[in-house]
Amino acid sequence: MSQIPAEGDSPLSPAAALAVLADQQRIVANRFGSSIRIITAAWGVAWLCGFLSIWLMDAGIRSFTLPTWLGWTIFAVLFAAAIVVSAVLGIRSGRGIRSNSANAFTGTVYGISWVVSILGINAFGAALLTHGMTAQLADLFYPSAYTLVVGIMYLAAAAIWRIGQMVVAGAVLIVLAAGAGFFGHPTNYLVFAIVGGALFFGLAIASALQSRSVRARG
Amino acid sequence: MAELDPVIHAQARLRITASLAALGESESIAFPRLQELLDMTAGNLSTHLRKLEEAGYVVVSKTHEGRVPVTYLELTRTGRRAFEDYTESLRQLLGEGG
Repeated sequence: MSQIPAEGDSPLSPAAALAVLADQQRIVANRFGSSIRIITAAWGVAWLCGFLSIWLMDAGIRSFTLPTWLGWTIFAVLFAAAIVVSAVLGIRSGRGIRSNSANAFTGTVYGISWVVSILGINAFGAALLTHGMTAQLADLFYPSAYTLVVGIMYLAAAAIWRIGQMVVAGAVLIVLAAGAGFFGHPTNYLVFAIVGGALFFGLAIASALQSRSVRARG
Repeated sequence: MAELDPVIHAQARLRITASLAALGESESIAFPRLQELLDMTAGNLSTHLRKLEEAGYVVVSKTHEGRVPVTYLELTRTGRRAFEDYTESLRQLLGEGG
C-alpha cells in the first residue's frame, strides 16, 4: 500500500520512515539544543553564585562573610563568563545558518536594544545617585532595574520568535524585579540568587528533558 | 488512502527535508553545515538536493563570503507544505491521529 520505491534509495516502510524522521529531528534538536542547555546553566550559576556572593558581603553570617572586593569580583567574573559562554556557543550554534534581511534587521534591532537599555539604566542610576540616592537604595535600585530590562527583553524575544519558555522566563524576571526590593537590602540579593538561579537551572533542565523526549519518540 | 510523496519518501531526502524543516521559515543553511548535520558525503547530498530542487521543494542560492563561494539551501513554501503533508500522511498510514 505505501511502500513506494524511491530512485537511488532503498524503499522504506511507513514505520521505518517515521523512525528515520524522528531520528533526524532528534539529531538536529540535539545539535542546536545542547548549546541552549549549557548557556542557561551558565546563567544559572551566575545568578545563584553571583548574587549569593553579594548577599554574603552584608548578610552578617559570621564565618561566611565575604570581603566587598571578593563578593563583587565573584559576581563580575561569573556574569562575564556567562556572557562569553552565550556569545561563543550562540555563534557556534548559528554557524552556517543565514537569515533573510528582514530577520537580520530584527536581530540587529533586538541586540542594540539590549545595549541601549542597559546604558539607559546606568545613566538613570547615575542621575539618581547625583540627586541623593543612598548606597542602600542603590542596592535595591540597580539589581531590580537591570532585571526588569532583562525580563522585558525576554518578553520581546518571546513575542518576536514565538518562544513559549521565554514568556515564562520574562514574566518570572519581571515579578522578581518588582518584588525583590520589598525584602530590603541585603535580603533582596538572596531573593535574586534563589529565584534567578532556580529559573535558569529550570530552563536548562527543561531543555534537557525536551531533547530526551524527542529521543524517546525516535 | 494517504499517498506518500515519492520525492520525500527516500531515506536520504527524508532526512534532508526534516533537517531543513527544522530551520525557521526564512532561514537557510550552508551546504557544509547541512552535510555535518546529515553525515552524508558531498556527492550524495548534492544528488538528493538536485532532486528536491527539481521538484521545487528546495531553493539553492550561491553566494560569496569574502572570496569563498558558499551554497545555501532552504525549503521553499511548497517544500515545507509537502513535508507537512508527508508527515501527516505517514501518521495516517500508521493509524496515528488520522
